[in-house]
Amino acid sequence: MIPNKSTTQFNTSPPKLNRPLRILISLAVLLHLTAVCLPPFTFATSMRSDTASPLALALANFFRPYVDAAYLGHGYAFFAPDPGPSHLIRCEFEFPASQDKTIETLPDLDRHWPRLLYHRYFMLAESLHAGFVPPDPPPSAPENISANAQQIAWEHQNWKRLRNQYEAQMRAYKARLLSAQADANRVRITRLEHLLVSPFEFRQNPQSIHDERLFVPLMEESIKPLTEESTP
Amino acid sequence: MNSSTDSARGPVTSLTQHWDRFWFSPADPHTLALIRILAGAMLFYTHFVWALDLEAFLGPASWTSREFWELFHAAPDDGMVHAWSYLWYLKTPHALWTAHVLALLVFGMLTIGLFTRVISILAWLITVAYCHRLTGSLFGLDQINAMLAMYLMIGPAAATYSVDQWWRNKRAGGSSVVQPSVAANISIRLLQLHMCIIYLFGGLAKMRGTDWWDGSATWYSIANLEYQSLDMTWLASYPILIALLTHVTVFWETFYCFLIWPRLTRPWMLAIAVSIHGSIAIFLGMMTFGLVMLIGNLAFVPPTLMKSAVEQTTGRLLQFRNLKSQ
Repeated sequence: MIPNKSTTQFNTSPPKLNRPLRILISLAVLLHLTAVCLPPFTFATSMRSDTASPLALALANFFRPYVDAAYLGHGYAFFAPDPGPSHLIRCEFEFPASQDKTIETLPDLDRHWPRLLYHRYFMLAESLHAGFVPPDPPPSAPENISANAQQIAWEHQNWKRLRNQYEAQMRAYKARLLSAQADANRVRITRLEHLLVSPFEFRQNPQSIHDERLFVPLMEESIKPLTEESTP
Repeated sequence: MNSSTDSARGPVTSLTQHWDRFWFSPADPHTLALIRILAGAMLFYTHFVWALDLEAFLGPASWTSREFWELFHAAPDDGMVHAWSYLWYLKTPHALWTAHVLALLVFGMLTIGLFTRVISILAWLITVAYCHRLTGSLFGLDQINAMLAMYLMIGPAAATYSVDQWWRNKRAGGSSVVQPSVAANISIRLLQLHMCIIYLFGGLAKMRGTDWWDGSATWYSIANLEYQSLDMTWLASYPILIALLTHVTVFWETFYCFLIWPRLTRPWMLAIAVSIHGSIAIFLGMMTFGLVMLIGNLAFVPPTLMKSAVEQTTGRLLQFRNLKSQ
């Protein structure tokens, strides 16, 4: 594979591209680099999950077919904005023939090897968490805030789309888990958040990082605000 | 009138010349060829690992269902899906395994540089098809893999260090010439600029966080047990060092796109890249991601340097082999 040194020579007068071809390539390059920049730019301008700069969104919509087809739609926000807690999933299998329950946690370093396979399972758990949308629609704006009816309708539609997506992902995970556990008739998935300890807490007690209480089950339900009727 | 036209034409002409020099100067293909070998090997390994649990990830009852996939990829306004993957049409284990073995074969051929002109295009199509199909289990590695595969199909990635070149040389009676080419330059330039975009937005995204500003982000990365592959929590006793590592990471990422170009600062930027990505690979359990980012950074190593490094390494290996055989 490594060419013989004596045969590796360099041509000092290579052919040049003609002008129309250079213009064509330049345009293609500019369009491609714009398409590469747009997804992270749109992501950077989104202060909430459902909004972004109108300019970024308009351009992103225009480039979407190319960006999606070429797998270029990334925010490149590695460990950003902050390196937060990890998310895992606990799978609790129920069996019709017995009262026994089997519990699996994903990802699992003991079962998933090599490390890249472990990371795939880790990403499955993280992606389920990232896609979580509460089962109840967002509350309408209170009367004292002037909210555009169109905006409320859009938010509701967006919630419904993302909720459907989350439910479909949850269904897929359950179907996958049940197909791998032939005897089980039901599986319950709980998202877990593995909280991080601060350097201060760690210096006080180095064992704190391994505390099982740092694994916090996350609720699937929405937290409803207390109303006059619900308060005792 | 004439002088004002001339002065207006001056900067435009100069800009055009700079643009042409940047994009259309022929470049030696050695950097691109070495990136092909390393990226090809990474693509092979990445897809080999899918094979360890192939049906769970790509079978009919996989983690990513068609229903979820369509909802995930549908454009919010018109519902159109532009992501594509032939893997959805492989319904039986036999078809799936056949396609997967063929994919591994393609990545193997890319690595050794065999029929590279066609294989590099197939490698990109396959990489993107897997990325689209496997929504939910992907991370940075897959993004960089797809980027490398894309630019490898543009330039003459097998002009040297390849079976194709060995075969060309043999047919030409040992007088085959490795030509500098514009396509090799365009490939490398696109890769360089894409790397700059990744780091710029990576740095800007970190600037929105508080931990990257207060100097604690490195701690929260190494204290995350799901990532941790080597325990570095002893660093908790050295808060100034943790803060220094955090600040260097943010500033390096943000200013990479400026400081990687000048000859004076480039070696420093690459040295920091090796430290940061090496640390991610060794300490944060992401060997593949750390390595693939370093492969991307190779785009900034000049072909002459790459060529002499490869020649020195192969020379030493040959010396070592000769010594052993004596």
